[in-house]
Amino acid sequence: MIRFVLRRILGIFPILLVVFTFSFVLMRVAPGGPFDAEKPVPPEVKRNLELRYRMREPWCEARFLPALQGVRSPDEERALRRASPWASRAERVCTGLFQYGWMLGNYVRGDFGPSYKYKDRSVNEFIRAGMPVTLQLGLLAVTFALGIGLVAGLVAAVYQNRWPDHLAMIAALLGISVPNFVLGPVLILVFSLGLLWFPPARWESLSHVFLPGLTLGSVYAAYVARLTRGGMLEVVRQDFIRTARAKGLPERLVILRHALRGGLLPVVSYLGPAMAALFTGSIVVERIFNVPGMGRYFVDAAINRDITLAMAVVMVNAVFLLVANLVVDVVLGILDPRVRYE
Amino acid sequence: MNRASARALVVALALESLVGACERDRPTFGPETRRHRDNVLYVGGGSEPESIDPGKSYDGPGIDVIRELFEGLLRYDPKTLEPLPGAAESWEVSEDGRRYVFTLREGLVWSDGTPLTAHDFEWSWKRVLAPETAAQYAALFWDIEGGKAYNLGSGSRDDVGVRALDDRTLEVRLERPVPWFLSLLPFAPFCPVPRHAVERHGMAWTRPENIVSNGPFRLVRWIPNYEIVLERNPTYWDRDDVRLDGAVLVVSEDTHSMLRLFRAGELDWLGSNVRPPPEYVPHLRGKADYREDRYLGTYFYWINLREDRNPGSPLKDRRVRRALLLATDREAIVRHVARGGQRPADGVVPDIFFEMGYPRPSPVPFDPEEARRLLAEAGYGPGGKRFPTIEILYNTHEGHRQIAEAIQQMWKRHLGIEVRIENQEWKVFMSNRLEGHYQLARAGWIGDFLDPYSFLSQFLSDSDANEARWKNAEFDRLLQLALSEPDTRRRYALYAQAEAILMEELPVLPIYYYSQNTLIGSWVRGFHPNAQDIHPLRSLWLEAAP
Repeated sequence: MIRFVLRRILGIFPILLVVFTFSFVLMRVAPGGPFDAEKPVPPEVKRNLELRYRMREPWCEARFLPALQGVRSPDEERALRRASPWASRAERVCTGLFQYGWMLGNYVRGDFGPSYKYKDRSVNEFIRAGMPVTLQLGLLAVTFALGIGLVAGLVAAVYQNRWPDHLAMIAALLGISVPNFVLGPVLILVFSLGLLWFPPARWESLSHVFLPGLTLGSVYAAYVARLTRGGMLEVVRQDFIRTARAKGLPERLVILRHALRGGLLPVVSYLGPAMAALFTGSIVVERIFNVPGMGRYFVDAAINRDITLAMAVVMVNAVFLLVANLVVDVVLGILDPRVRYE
Repeated sequence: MNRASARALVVALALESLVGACERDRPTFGPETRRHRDNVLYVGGGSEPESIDPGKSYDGPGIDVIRELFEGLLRYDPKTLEPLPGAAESWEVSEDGRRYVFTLREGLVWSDGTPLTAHDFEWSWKRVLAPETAAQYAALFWDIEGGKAYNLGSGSRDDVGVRALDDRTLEVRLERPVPWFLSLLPFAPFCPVPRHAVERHGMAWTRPENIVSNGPFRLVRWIPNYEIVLERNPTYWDRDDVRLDGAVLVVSEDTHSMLRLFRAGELDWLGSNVRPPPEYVPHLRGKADYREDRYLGTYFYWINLREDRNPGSPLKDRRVRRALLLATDREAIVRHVARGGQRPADGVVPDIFFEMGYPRPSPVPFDPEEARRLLAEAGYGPGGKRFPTIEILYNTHEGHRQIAEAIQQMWKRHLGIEVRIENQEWKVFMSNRLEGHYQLARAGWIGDFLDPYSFLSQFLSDSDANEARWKNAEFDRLLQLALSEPDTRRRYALYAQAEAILMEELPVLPIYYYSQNTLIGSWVRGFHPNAQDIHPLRSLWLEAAP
């Protein structure tokens, strides 16, 4: 088992490198750069910026497009690039490789690099500030998801095809189909602007975290409920349950001690990726409730072409996902005697 | 007090209570009375500042924070935005308008107690120009002698025309007279930065634990994408005039969540970086805490005139451009689509300048008949060539889409022209616009300073912001001439001549002059709407605060 875990951990690194490379290439080939703005800065100033952030590499220019170094206006540069497209492409690739090497070097040192948009800050600071909040919110959402989902699923399974089952499954269907960008504002409208029970946004006290946690957790709660119900129904039909009942065990013990362990297996497999998703945050919930987490950067950083920040959140998410899957595999092995570590 | 003035006072008091009564009678969007109990202003801050380093900042939210934390030689008058003495108590300008000498106040200190001297200003300004700083506003300093050369890497730091003659005297020499130079000085890039802190902490010097500043407030807390907390700076020279204990800037890009916070009484003011969306406006109008004012900006469409793009496009014909403008019912766009108190634009210089003596451009009527005649004259329409489908490019945004659709319909109905509208995500859109891959593209221009030059200079033949690549020697000449004209009226007359050429040639289709709308609690006092929507917090106060 220890060898299995070690091998899996070692296997994470090549996967991360692939993710890193792939997201870097995607960010670089996306049209538009981090310094394109409605009020264009003079080309010389933009050049200074690009040199500073490794979007331009003097060595590559000298090697492939020497004429570029004397060029001042963007129109001239464009004309020059159009005149020699292959040299221009070679220069771009060369610059990209330099930038890739620079960022990879930073990552090896545990540094995500400077943010391209937020000029006073390093990406590490954003992750460091956002991650604890996102983890708190994620933990809360998981609690809601498991608390509501497990109970609802169990009740539904025990009272199969009777009214508690239908009620729980209708609620689950609603939970899955109502997106959180609808649920969030509706909850705010009712509970904060209407009943004045909770504040409408921000992240200060316990009363602030309730609505965002519920909003984020509801979809997962619904899935957990359905999976628990499905898993339980499959297990309670098996022979060992019949045996347990035949021994005269009270129904409560049959369900909680014998059926639950097997019935939870689908939930556990589902929880791995679900927790990875919850712990990297949700742009929608964070925006609606003004939660200072890091989920927002998934979209914002990509839109701003903030290469370093966008890649950092992708990498953090990749690590979470890989680790969560590993943990799930280990837990499944403990719960399910049929699983063997090879 | 004599009897007449006593009577005037009574009348004034009566009037005020009457006005006050009316105010109270009108419904509000937020709560009627303040929810918070402290003497701290809660403001919407807009998106996360890109930087609060005066030398590096380039975005609205960052500049707003810098204005509270730092103070330049001059500061803004909250009503008129005219420059008032800030760190400098007096200044002299030479006869030819090219040499300025500023005298700093005595005993100025940074928030850590270090003395603030003219040397700090010299160092800070040169820092903005240093190529390695890569400051985006560096070009504002290019009019300083030797500034452009140093910034571009060909000159030296010592040749830049900024010099501290002694601890309290700063001399600035300009390459050419710049009539609005003084009005630039309250602006963020001209604020001093603390050399000792910058050199000690590097990029991290703007963190709350490291920052040293000289403005009315100082930075207590800065949580990215959440909030920025300011408190009154006890070392600020005019601290007794600062009435707020502090301010909390709630950072969020989500307008709806900000509106909800205001509604719940968590915000005193929506802030100048958060605008209620147009669909809310009909509901907000008439509420006592809603206001709508004019803003220093123009919304327009670029028409691509680049020689190497869109060969044979009918848009390269001036008559066609005129026809398109005449067939655009801008009044209807403003009233039914934009809906936020905008005014139809007859030019690119915003109407705010009209009451400052800028000559009003001749109005552009909505005249489909004349438009059809012009189109026929250009050879299109019945019996002529078929007008090819043209495309309007805009960045993905509900408001821009609605306007593009309205224009699409108008041109179809009045001119029979097929228009395709295409939206692109912001950076893709900007890249295509800058590269010239468009026929018509949406644009908005917000003035950096209170002079029409801020709007007209983008149309200079050699301007990088001239995205149409429109070239007109006479236009360039008139603007050049205006620069050396110190008399405002005469300068405005020259600008107006230049703008008339622009409106004759139409490399742009002006659509509307911007407005600024906001929500602000009646308990916030000292708030004056102004052209650039700049509201120094030091002049705001809270009614009935402890």
